[in-house]
Amino acid sequence: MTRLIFSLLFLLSALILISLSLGAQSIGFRDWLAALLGQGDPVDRIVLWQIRLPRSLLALAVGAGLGASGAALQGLLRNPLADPAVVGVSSSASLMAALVIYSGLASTLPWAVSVGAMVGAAIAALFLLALSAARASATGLILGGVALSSLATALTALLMNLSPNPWALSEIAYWLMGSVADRSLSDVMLAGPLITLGIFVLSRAGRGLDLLTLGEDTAMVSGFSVVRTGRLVVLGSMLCVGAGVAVAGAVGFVGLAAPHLVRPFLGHQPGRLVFPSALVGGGLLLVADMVSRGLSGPGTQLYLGVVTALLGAPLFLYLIWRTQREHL
Amino acid sequence: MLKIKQLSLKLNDRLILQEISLQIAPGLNVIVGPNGSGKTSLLRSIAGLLPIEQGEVLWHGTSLTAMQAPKRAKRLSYLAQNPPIHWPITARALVALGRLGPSESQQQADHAIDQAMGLCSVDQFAERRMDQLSGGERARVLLARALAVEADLLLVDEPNAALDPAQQLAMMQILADQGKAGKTVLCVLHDLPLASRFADHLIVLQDGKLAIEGKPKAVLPGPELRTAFGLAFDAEGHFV
Repeated sequence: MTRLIFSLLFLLSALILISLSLGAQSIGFRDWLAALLGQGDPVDRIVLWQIRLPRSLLALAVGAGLGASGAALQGLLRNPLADPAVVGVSSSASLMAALVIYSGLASTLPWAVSVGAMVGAAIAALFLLALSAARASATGLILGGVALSSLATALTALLMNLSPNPWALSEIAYWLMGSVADRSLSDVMLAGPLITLGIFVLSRAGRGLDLLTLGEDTAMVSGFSVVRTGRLVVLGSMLCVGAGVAVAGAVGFVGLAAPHLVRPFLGHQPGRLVFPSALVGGGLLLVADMVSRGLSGPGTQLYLGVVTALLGAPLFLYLIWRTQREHL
Repeated sequence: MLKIKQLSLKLNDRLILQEISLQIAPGLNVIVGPNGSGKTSLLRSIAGLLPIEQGEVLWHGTSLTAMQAPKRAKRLSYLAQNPPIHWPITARALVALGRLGPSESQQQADHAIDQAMGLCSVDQFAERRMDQLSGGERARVLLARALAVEADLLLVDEPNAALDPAQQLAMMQILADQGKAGKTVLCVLHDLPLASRFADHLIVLQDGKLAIEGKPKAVLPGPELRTAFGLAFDAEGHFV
């Protein structure tokens, strides 16, 4: 496991450097290196440190949060198809962000969208915690989450339907497609600590998630509180996904795919997957953002959520095909 | 010594267990009884999985009922009937689930895991995934997980479900050996000949009450067992 983590950290470092070298402004290698070291042309420094770096760090952080949440939720719900979107955390965060844009608050208070997304994630978390406290089974939690997700998606569609002007409609639509473009270091400072805390909380649930492999009875007799494990996963996911949606909008597939990409290397033990899935999730979103930048032209921006869905669907089909071959 | 005092259990307003009192000594203790007689509920109550209506379960004089779950987990180990295996982890990773408690060195944990795997003869396929094992191999790995806990009280619910006769004998031999080694093993069984062959002590439940307990050869041909099952058995547990 240590070897895999070091390999992933090396890969991520390489991806960040590649990500920092890509962009609309062409910078030669020497100038790029000088700017990276805080020297050289001031314009290059601004491009590198104030435009590209926040973008890359946000892609890394948001992807890491989604990857860790996906792994922990799959372990808690004992379902390989679970991810933050399935249990309604992402869609609730998106709904509240859309509500802030719809109300016009976003134009006067720029941070209101982020706060709205966090509140949405918290509402979803409270709902899931209430279900968990009522001793709902894993299936009950999934069904409750699916119902919440459907409701939040329907209400978001209603907001778009009742949009007061085309500007608000397009703002909501673009927000829902997800992006890390044009973000600043203050966005990184908002999301980074919350996502780091979220991943830490999720990793605390590792042993409980491992024991849930044999069902709730075995976990309970082994001295682990299933309720506590559930709380850690829900709270950690709330922090990761809420902060992620707050700065990048809705980004799908990363939470679902990252744990599946880790399993061939580390096996299926859920507790061992959380941190490596965070690293893989960060890498996936960095790659998706580079693809998004590469395919965007002047006046046309390809949104991150669109790229993750376009890349994620075939990737996921490949994983299913490979899993089925393993069982033949 | 496991002491059960006046234990009653109610589920959905239905009395499942009624004032059961037992003193269970080290060795292989087998609980038998018709379907619905409360065997599994008794085991789950002792394990702390079901809330007891009244009564108490004492382990060496200390109440298991009042004990906090992490403390209780060091004293007892529970193997449910056909527990789900949600992820295709390796046999060794599954056995290691028995040693997930805090404050333990990896060396200590590895020793307990290796020993449990050796006792159940599952060490030869330690790195194979659970979904690639036969039913008998899976059952032995699950038992090894329960043994890796190294608790002195072992609760086992129908370990032989869906196993062939050779695997059933192997499973019972492991449990009997645990009993001989000084562990208190409490095992629910449906197979009376196996109970006759391996059990040190037999407990018969009927309609949530204790019908009779004692040495298998004495209990099996007795009238209480005939009343409980509506069938007569000889001392070896066969129909007569």
